[in-house]
Amino acid sequence: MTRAEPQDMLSAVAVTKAFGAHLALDNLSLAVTKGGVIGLIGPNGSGKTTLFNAITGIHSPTSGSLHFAGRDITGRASERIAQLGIARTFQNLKVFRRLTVFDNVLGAQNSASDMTMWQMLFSVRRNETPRRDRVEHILERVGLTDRRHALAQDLPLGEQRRLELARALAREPELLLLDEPAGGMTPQETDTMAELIHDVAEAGPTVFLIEHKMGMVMRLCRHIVVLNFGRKIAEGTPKQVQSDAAVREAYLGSVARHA
Amino acid sequence: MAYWYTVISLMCINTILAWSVYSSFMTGTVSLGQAGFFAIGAFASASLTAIYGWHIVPATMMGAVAAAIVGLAIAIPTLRLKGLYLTIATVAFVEVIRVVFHNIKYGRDGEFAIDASSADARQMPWIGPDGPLGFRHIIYLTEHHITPGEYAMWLVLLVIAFGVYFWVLERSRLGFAMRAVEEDEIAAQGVGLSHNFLKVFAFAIGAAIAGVAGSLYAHLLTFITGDDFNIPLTVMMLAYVVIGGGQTFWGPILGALIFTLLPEIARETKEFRLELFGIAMLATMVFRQHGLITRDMVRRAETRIKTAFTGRNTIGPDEPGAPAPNPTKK
Repeated sequence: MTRAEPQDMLSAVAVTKAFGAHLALDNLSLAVTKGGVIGLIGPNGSGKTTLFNAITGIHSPTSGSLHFAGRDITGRASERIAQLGIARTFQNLKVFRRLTVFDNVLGAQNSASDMTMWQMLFSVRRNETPRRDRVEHILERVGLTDRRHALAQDLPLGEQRRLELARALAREPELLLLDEPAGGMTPQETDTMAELIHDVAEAGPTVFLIEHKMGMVMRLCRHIVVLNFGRKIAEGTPKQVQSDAAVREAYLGSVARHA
Repeated sequence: MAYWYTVISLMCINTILAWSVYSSFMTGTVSLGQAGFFAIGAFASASLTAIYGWHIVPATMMGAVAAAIVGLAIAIPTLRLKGLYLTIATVAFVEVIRVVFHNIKYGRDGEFAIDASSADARQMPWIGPDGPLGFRHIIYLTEHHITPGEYAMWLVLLVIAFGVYFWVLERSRLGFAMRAVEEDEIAAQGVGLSHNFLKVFAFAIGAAIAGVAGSLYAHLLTFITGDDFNIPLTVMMLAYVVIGGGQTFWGPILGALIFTLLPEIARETKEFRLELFGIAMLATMVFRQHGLITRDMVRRAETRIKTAFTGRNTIGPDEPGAPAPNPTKK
């Protein structure tokens, strides 16, 4: 049984999440140390997104505990966890559809945590030059500068994924959870996204990455955790994971050929 | 002329009511409870002026505060409900308030019977809500010699003040956060916004605004009953926003103006009035699902005005969906 070590950025201790009789997470313990990209892989339905939802407070775990930067975040409100420094993207795209690209990112900046209601009411947007400059900078990083006045709903899928990333970056998080950031993307778009994630991780936040595209995962991650049926079946470096018998059996056996 | 002053006053009151719906609409909450807050504001403020002789301004404020407190009490448990369930809960609230004011009686004896020999003198008027008979003799305006014209002017000023509030709100981070909650609650939480707090806040402000409108309405009409504040009225308020357009604060103004003026203008059509109304509503919903005034329209108009004031703009204002970038940049 693992304990929550203080030097871990994120740790899960014996986390179980039950939906009725189905255990989406089954006594799962894992730790994410600071820096770089950590991969989270596993077949469909193995509990990856459920783990992200538990970390970000969307579903609180049935039992067990979650710790972020030395703090117990189990069952805390989602927005509080976000304010502590965890940002995420969503597999099924949750951009603010009827807001512009620029406003999506602008609104994600640390609005609720460092501003009172009155400041929020009177911070008329045009007066916030430094904040706007930061938004421009982020949009440039993800390559959406040209699209900044388009409505989010009008973007093609690849750009919406990059917008989600931009919005998460605007939070200046310590831990960035990416849920299939290259899902549904063309090979070229996937490469661009992989580079982007690499650069992001170089620049600051620890990245915890769910992805089905194994080439990308193996290239980016320094450490990989493999789930199956809500349990951790293996973890280690890409090499270790690839050669792991349990992983091959559960998952990589079929996927490795494509990678 | 006095007739038109009354119409103008009603347009102002309806605009304020439409905004009271719009306030929570901004966070994606559809409230059908506004008639209840309207009633609370009306009865509370009229009680203060008529029974206790308060000035109308603090009385109106107290009406707003009372409505906001009740709004908080309603919002905190019910805003956890999603979509339709919340809407139904607010409808039930209107019915509860209506029944309460239908049955409540408090107040004092009136003292304005001057001619002791008249029939009125023998029947002293009751000052205060009198059960099903309603709250009569809210005579603040006549007592203080405020003419309908003056009252209409004050109301117009008040509408402008609320308009400024919404104008600032829509451009502020707070309004932005509300829009984010409307778009996607989970994503809004993901960027650190408390959707519960924002929804409760917007709902309470909406209740307070309805309370202000209630006070204005009670003093304009001088006579209110619990039954005035019924479900058709609350549906009507929602219609102002839906027909006028719920994406910006301009829409509710247009909705309220149309719905106040149209029945006045269409008086000649007599019994077909309501049918015309229904057809107009249907037509709007078929042809303009987002209401008459959409955010795109407002944005385009703003760009055009900016261009007109700042001289030639380099970017064509008619680019579809892409208004000119912020002119302060580069």
